[in-house]
Order: sequence, then C-alpha cells, then structure tokens
Amino acid sequence: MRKFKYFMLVLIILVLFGNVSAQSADEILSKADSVMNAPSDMVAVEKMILIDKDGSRKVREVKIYQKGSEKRLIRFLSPADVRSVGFLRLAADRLYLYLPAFRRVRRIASSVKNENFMGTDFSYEDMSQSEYGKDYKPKLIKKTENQFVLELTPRAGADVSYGKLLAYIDKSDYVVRKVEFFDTDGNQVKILTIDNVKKIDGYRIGTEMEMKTVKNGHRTLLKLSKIQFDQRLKDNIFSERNLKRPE
Amino acid sequence: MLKIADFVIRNRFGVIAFIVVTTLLLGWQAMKVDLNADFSTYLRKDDPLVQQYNRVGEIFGGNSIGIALITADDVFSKESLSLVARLTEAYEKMPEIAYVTSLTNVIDFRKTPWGLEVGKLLNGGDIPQSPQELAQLKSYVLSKDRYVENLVSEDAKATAIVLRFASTKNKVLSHFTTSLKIKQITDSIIQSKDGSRNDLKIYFGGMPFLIFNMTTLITHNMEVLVPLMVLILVVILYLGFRTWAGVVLPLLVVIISVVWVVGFMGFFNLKFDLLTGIMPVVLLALGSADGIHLMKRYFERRRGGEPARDAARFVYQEMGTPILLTTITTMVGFASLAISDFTVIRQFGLLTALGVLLALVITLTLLPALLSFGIRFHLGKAKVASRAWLTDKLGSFIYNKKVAILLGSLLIIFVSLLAIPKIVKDVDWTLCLAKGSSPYHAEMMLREKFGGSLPIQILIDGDIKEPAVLKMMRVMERRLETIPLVSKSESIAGIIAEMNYVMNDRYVIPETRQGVSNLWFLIESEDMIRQMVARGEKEALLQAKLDTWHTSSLVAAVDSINIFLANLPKDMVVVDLSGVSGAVRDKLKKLQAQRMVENLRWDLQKYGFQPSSEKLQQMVSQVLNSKVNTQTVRRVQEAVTAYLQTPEAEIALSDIYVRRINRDIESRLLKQQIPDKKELSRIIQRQVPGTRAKDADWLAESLAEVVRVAIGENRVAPVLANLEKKYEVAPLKKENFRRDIKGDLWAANENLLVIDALQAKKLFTTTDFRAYNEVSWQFMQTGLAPVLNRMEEELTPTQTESLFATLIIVIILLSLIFRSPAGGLLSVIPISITILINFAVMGYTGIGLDSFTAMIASIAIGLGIDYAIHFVSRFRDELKIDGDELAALQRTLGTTGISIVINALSVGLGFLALLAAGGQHIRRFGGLTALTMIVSAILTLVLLPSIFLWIKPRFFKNAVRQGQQAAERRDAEVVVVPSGK
Repeated sequence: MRKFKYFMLVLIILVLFGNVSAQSADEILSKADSVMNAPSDMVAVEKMILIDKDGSRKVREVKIYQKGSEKRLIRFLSPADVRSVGFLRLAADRLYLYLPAFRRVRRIASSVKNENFMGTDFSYEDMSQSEYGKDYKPKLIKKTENQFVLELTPRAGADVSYGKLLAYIDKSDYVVRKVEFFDTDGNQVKILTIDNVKKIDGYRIGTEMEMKTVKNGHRTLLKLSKIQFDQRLKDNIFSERNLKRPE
Repeated sequence: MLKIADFVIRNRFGVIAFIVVTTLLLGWQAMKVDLNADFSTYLRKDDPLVQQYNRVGEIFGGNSIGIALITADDVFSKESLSLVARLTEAYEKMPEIAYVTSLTNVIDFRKTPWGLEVGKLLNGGDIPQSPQELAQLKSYVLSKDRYVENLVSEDAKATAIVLRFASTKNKVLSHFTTSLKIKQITDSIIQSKDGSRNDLKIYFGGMPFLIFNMTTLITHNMEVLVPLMVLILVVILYLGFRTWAGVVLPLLVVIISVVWVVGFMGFFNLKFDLLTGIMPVVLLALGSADGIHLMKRYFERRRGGEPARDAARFVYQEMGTPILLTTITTMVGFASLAISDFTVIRQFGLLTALGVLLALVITLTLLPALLSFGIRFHLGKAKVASRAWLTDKLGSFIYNKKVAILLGSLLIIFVSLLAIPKIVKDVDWTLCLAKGSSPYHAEMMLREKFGGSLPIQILIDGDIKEPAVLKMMRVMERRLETIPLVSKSESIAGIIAEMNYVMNDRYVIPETRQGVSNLWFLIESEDMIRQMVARGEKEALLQAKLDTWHTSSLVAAVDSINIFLANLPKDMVVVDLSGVSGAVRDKLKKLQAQRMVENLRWDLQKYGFQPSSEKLQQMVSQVLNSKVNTQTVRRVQEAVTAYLQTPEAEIALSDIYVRRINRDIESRLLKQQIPDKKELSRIIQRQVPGTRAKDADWLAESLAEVVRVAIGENRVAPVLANLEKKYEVAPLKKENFRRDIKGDLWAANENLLVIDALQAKKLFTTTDFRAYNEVSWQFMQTGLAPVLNRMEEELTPTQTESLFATLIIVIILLSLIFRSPAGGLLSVIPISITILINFAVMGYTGIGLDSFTAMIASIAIGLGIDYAIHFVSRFRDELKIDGDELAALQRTLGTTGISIVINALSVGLGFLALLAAGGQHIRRFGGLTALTMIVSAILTLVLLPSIFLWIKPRFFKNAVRQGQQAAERRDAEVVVVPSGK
C-alpha cells in the first residue's frame, strides 16, 4: 500500500510537470512567433554577404517588403548585373520570379522550396518561414540562464523538409537567437544565428543573421537597415506587375 | 680481391653479425613502405601539364572522379531508384567526397505550364511510386541528353552515381581509404533488407577505384609472386647443385638484398608503385646470379679436394672480377632507365640497380664468410658425367656447324626485322586491370554505355560571365563532340543555354551580360556550378568524355583538340551589327552565315548526319534574308495581345487599346520597320491617351522584347520545320534535335557577333571603334588525357635513348675487359639479336610498346650481357690452357655453360612467375623478359662461340696461341721428366 502511494506521487509529479513543460514549450514558441510577426508590415534594406569556405565574398543588396506572415517581395538593388531581379511570395505555393533581362515573370514550382534562394544559404523555405508554430511541434529540452532551447519536430502533414530544429529563444524578449536545422536522419545541416537585436518602433528585431551550411562551410550574412514598420503597405505591392517595377 | 677475401674470412663472425644487424634494422624500415598506384603521379611533378592537372583538381574540388554503376533490368524502378537515393544520401555525408551527382539529386531545369522549375530531378529524393509516374520519369530522363550516358545508359539498364573525391594532400592513401569506405557503406546499404533485389548489381569505376584496385593488385602481386619466386629458385638451385647449401646460400643472399633495398625505400620515404611492386621479384631472380656462379666454382674446387677455407678464398679471387663486371653491366642496364621521364620507371631502374649492387656486396661478404665454415655435399659423379657428355656433344655440334649456326641466325634476324614495322605503339591503360574484376566490368560498361571514363578537360581563363566567352565555349562544346570517341561535352555555357531554352525556348547564350547573370543567379550555389566555375567566375572547366584508354586513339583525340584550340582566337571582339553598315556589315553578315553553317554542321554530325555545305548555306541564307510578311505580323500581334493580357503587363489595358497598339505596330512592320522601345513608347502614348511617359517607357521595354522574339521565331520556323522533316531522329531525341538546330538558327536574330580581333583590325577603321568591345580569354587542354599523352610522347624517345646508352656503355666495358674492341663488339651480338627477337615477338603477337614492354630491351642488355662476360672470360681462360678450340669450348660449356643455363632458368622462370600477377601488363612484361633471358642464354652458348670460331678475332687467336705454347711447354716437360728418370 505504501509502495502504491509512492507510485501515485511519482505519477502525479510526472503528469503535472510533464504537462507544465509541454504547455510552456507551446507558449514559448507562440510568443516567439508573435514577436516575429508583431508588425503588420515591414520595409527594409538588406545586405546579403555570401561567404565561401575559402573566405571569398559576394555582396548584394535587396529591398524587402513584407506584409503579414505570407506576403513578401524582395527586389535586388545591387550589384548592377542582378539589379531589379525580383522574388514574390504570395503564399507557400505561389512563388514568382522576375528576371529583368528577359522582361518576364515566371512562376517557380513550390517543389523548389528546399533549394537555395539566389545563391544564399537560405532555402526558399527558410526565406518564407515566419511562424514556426504552424509547422512544428515544440518540446522544451533545456533552459539556460538566458535562453529556452526548443526542439521543434514537424507536425503531421506539415510540408517542411527538415527533420528537426533546435531553436534558442531569448528569455527576456522571446526573440529567436539561433536555430539549428537537422535533416530527417538527424544530421545537422545548417545553423542560423541572429544577432544585434534592436528595438525599432516598439518592435524587437534581430538586425544581423548568419546562416551557415555545415557540409560546405558556405555562409550567408544578412544585415538589415532602414527598417520601417507598419507602413500600411497596399496589397497591389505584392503583385506580378509591381514585381517588375524598378526600384 | 684476395685481400678482401682474406679480410672477410678472417673477420667472418663480425661480417655475419654486421649483416644480421643491418638486415634487422632495414627490415624494420621496410615495414613502413607505402603503396602508390596513382599513375597520374608517375610523371615528373615539375611538368607544366602535371602542375596544371593538379591545380585544376584543387580549384574545382578534386579531379578524381569515381563512378558507382548500378545495373538492373530497368533502373527506373522503385527499388533501383530508392537504392540510388539511399546511396547518394550516404555518399553525400562523407567528408571525403566533395560532390555527389545521381538521378536522385541532379539539378534539373524543367519546363512547366507556367514557367520554369529549377530544382532536383527527384525533389528531396522522392521516388515516384506508380508505374505510370516511373514510366513518365523514364521517358523524361531519357529525352534529356545531359542525363543520358552521364547518369543513365540509353537502354535504362545502368545508372551512375558520380563521386568527385575531395582534393587532399595524400591522394593515394585517401583514395584508397575513401574507396574502401564507399564499398563498405554500399555493402551495408545493399545488405539492409529493403535494398536487396536480385537483378541489382553495383560496380565501381573511374580513377580512384582504379587506384584502389591497383593498390590491392600490388599487394596481391607481392603476396603471391614473392613466395612463388622463392619456390622456383629453390627448385632450380636444388636441381643445379643437388645440395641444400647450394639452395640456401644464394637464396639467403637475394632475400637479404631485397630486405635491404626495401629498407632503403622506407628510409627515403619511397613508395611501392605498379612497377616497383614487382621489383622484389625481379631482384630475387637477378640477385641469385652471382651466388650461383660463385657456388658453382666453389663446388668445382671442393670436388678437386680443396679445403673449404681455401676454396672460398680462391673462388673469390677467380670469380671476383667477372662478378664485379657482370654486376656493373646489370646495374648499367637498370640505371639507364633513370633517364626516363616516368618517375615510376626511374624509380624501378634505380632501385633495382641498387638491389643488384647490394646483392653483390652480400655475395662477396656473406657467402665467403659462410662458405669458409665448410659445407658437406655429394659429388654426384654420374650426373656430372652425363652433363659432360651433353655439353661435349653440344660443343662438337657448334664447332662443326658454326657456319650453319651463323646462317640460321641471319635468317632469324631477317624474319625478326620484318616484324619491326608491325609493332604497335599503343598502350591500353585498362590492361592494368585484372580481367573480371569489378573495375574492369565498370570500365567496360562505362565504355559501352556511358561514353567512356576518361575525362577530357579544357580550362578557360577569362570573364566567364561575358556572353562572348560563353558563346565561344559553346563552339568548343559543339566542336568537341565531332571528334571521334569524344562525347558528352559539358560546361557552364551549356547549362546557361539549357536554362535559356527552358525559360525562353532558345538554346543559346543570352546576348547580354545581364541575361547571363540573371540565369546564373538561379544556380550559382549549386554543387554542379562549383565543379564548373571557380576563382570568382574567372575560370571555367569544359569537360567531355573520351571513350578509350588506348594511347593511339587518345593521342589522336588530344591532338585534334589541341589543333582546334590553336585555331581559336585569343583576343576577340564583339561587334554590334546594328552599329555597322556598308561593306563591313556585308562582310560581317557573311561571317555570321559561315559561323551558322559550321554550327549546324557540327550539330547535325552529332546526330549522325553529314549534310552538304551547299544545302546548309542555302538554309542559313534563307533564315538570314527572311523578310517581314503577313505571317510575321500575325505572330507579332498574337504575342503582343497575349502579353498585354497577362497580370505581369506593366499597364493593364482594355482590349480596345490592345487592338490599337497592334494596328500601329502592324503598319510599321508592313513597311519592314521593326519598332524599337522608343518607337513602341510613342505608339503606346499615342494609342492610350493619358499614359504617363514613364509608364509607357516601362511597358515599351517589355513589348520591344516580345516583338523581337516573335519576329525571330517566325524567321527560323520554316527552315527549322524543313530540317526536322529532312533529318529523322529517334523519338526520344526529337526534342533535343529541335532544340540544338533552333539554337543554331537563332543566331540569325542576334546583333552581336564574336570575331577574331585580328580579323576585326582588318575590317574596321578607327571610326568604327564604338561598334565593338574587346574580350580576352585563354584556354588550354588539361586533365588526365594530355598527361597520358605526354607519357606516350616521352616513352619511345627515352626508351630508345636508354637502350643505346646501355649498349654503348656495355661495348666500352667489354672492350676494356677483353682488351679488344672486336671482342667487345662481337660479344654484344647475341644480346642485340635477343632484343630484336623480343621486338619481333611483340610485332607478330600484337603486344603494344608500353611503359613496361619498352623497358625489356634495357633490362635484357643488363642481364644478358652477363652471360657473354662469363662465357667469353671462361672460354678465353680455357683456350689459354691448351689452345684446343673444341676442347676449350666443351670445357666452357660444361662449367660456365651450366651456370648460365641454371641462371637463365632461374631468372627466366622468375620473370615467368609474373604470369601469375594480376594486371595483364605485368604478365606481358614477365613473359617477354623470361623469353629474352632464355633466348639470350641460348644465343650466348651457341651463336657466340660460332662467331668467335668463324671470325677468330685477334684476342681469340692470342688466347689460342698462348694455349698452344702452354701445351707445348707441358709436352716438353712431359718428355723431359721420363728421360730424367
């Protein structure tokens, strides 16, 4: 009887704390997602620095228009030979590309989502990812002094190509500071680090990101500047016609 | 000599101890010797071609390409593709592999109903499940020439996973371990339950696996051949001496000398390669010679009742000089290989020469030291008697039939000379592979179904994003495919053209840098591009496959490519045809037409057609001179309407405005005026009132492109249709044929023409300068093919030089030894005829002159001349005894003759042991060298005395005279003694 009491106690503790931890993981992720998607829209200039394993660099500048978590327009400003190349995302399966040399907008198949976006280490999927909670189920695996470490596994039916993510979320402001990406076999494939978190127009945002591909050592550094939030961007900005418009 | 003998015998314990300790120390060093089977390292490292080859490997992520070939009844099955996917994934995870390309991860440019798709052929390794999907995939893949014969065979029975090995410092070791790891990974995947299917087989081919195979071959050769050789030696030595001491002592000498040489290799960090791998076997055969002669003389003296210590001492005195001389000649034969540019031949020659020297040192120290202790042996009188009978008979035969022997030899020389022109100078490098081995199968399959495994590479240095450079690279791609045995040319230029085709239906390089950059942008992070372009888009690699490892066809292909490259301009100018007029324009148009005819011809040749130049010129001129007609107008209007109705049109216009704009464009076209963007902007502003100039300009830019493309399409359509009708190709190739031919014809729509700068200087005056841009580039053929070609180029000259150098040195040595230039010259006759016979056998049997067979002549001189030295020395000595030519010959044959036979048999059989070697080239080498040894011994024993007996050179006559005088003295003594009694 006494043994049974102990058993019940252990069970209660397990259920209770297990539950608390699951809840808090969902909460943490949901807070992180909401921090990420708090502004209604954003316009910014982004410097992309592509760094090869041997240290050689390529620098590009783009202008980003983002509205909600779905609509995004990216237009290249430099270098000259790719100026005006544009990328438009209206939904996960509606991606468009504009190549100014041919004056034509082409739709890109959604199946390319795990291909790299324009020579960077970000895939189309990474570029489009704005709400982790939608596609991934979180599990709190570690708490450090400053960070929560969530293990994110794909939800049933989620159309994602990773097998697992480890997200490091800042305890103070719920900004995601680091994400490790793993393939379906559990091998680490990429590492995203987010730095230089600033408060702009009341929103907290990491203005420097680095994505590193583990196998080839290639890195992409993104530096945001001229960030403007809540500009009341019209829907027609996110159109094929506007995609062709020079900046 | 006697002093050394006395010293050795006096200090025999010290000598033996020294040899034992040295052997132990060097034996320990010998354990460290590694293997090197990478034949790209066999040439001098300072050779510019080799340097370039290595540099290309470093900057393009390794130039060692291995191929895993999977065969099945149909590779487009769930099981096969799943296996390919699993293997691809597993190989991708290996850090030793820089890039993996297979059907499941190759980048694909696919036309879709709404645009283009740049992605993996099988996205995320998703394998189609239904038979319909699989059939669809099969017909899609087989219709794309970038995949056929690169990743899948035309019959769909084999698929390749291409593995680019990462560049490392210790290439050989890493290739060996990586190949081993790949095989282990593959085995574990195949053995996993779901991967097994009976008809699936995997073979590994390509350079790294060849190296792997050869490394195991070297080990195998040593493991099998060394014991075999020892066994052969034991048998021959026992048969020759009938005593275990006669077996053990010469064997001990050679084994110790082999240990010492390999120990030196370890000390100097040298590696066993394909050739040095057989050096221990060769040394076992060679090193025993001195011991055999020494032991033979020792037993002769012991039979005469001499005590062991004295016999050892005097044998030394008698045999020391001939042994020293024969060692020097053998060393000269091998050391002469040092002038070769092949490091592998150099190393083999020098190490074997060192081995022969060490064998001499050990023979002259260890043997007398051991022999001085005394050896028990049977006299074996019966055998000796029977041998004497045989050699006496032979001696009489030679003595009586010398003229017949000489005539017979002349006949042999004549027959042999007839075969010399028949010798093929051709090496098939795959002969290095053991028949039936996995790489051999893979190699044969790569030849049959994948256009070969030898990469042809052209390195291009310049601004690779410059359309002129890319256009010229396309010219290279087309031209390469017309060279016999060359196929599957591939470079960034072809990729850009393919993307342009998928996106815009034109298989051409975009005319502007922006066009190139825009397409490039979509693929620049792809692994495929890193293997094609390097150094910040300043260097590119154009690759093709050569379907041969035969040096003769390889040389022909490499030469054709070099001739073609030599005729390409290094400095080009890009001329804008719209900016020139008059006679210059006419000349440029003519040049454009010529270029189009050339490209069309090359492309048609690729599909197996041989069109007449006249027909091609007619077609090209039809395209170039096509005029705007009503059909053109209709096509343009349709295109403009379609564009203005899309959501991407810069201004949303109602139908009425679309019709107005179209009418305006029509009126211009009918006047043969093609409206440019300025004109179109004016049309828009006129026909759509209220349009802002900025917006009109924006739309006009797109419309100008739409109009240009529609007119271009209309221009090429009739000729294209005509060509498609005239040249019937297989259904799966139809789309590619159309794509290629249309691409060639499309040049008529282009305003930019790339021409040679020298030509431009003649055409243009200074005022025309703004009409063109100068572009510089450089290119050279690189890769393994020219490296092998270089080996081939250097093979014959160095071997001939080596042969003559050896012959001259030997003649000088022999002249000095016999103190008679005639003696020297005559003594090399048997070995010269032996070499001739060797080449004749090669000529008659079709054995090619390769790096191995080319060495035989030099080695044969080094070895065969020993017989002449021993024979002539002994014959002269015997003649000096009584001046009786026949008796002297019989005694020589009965003593030294027997040693020569034992030696020739042991060396010959030793080389014959190489017939058990893996690798057909070593077998041929072994068989031919064995033949030369036996032939050389026979000629020395039969022909050489016939020559001396017939010619009777001065030194021969002198010896006879001395012998007769000695005999007379003896006779006189015999007469005197009884009378004294």
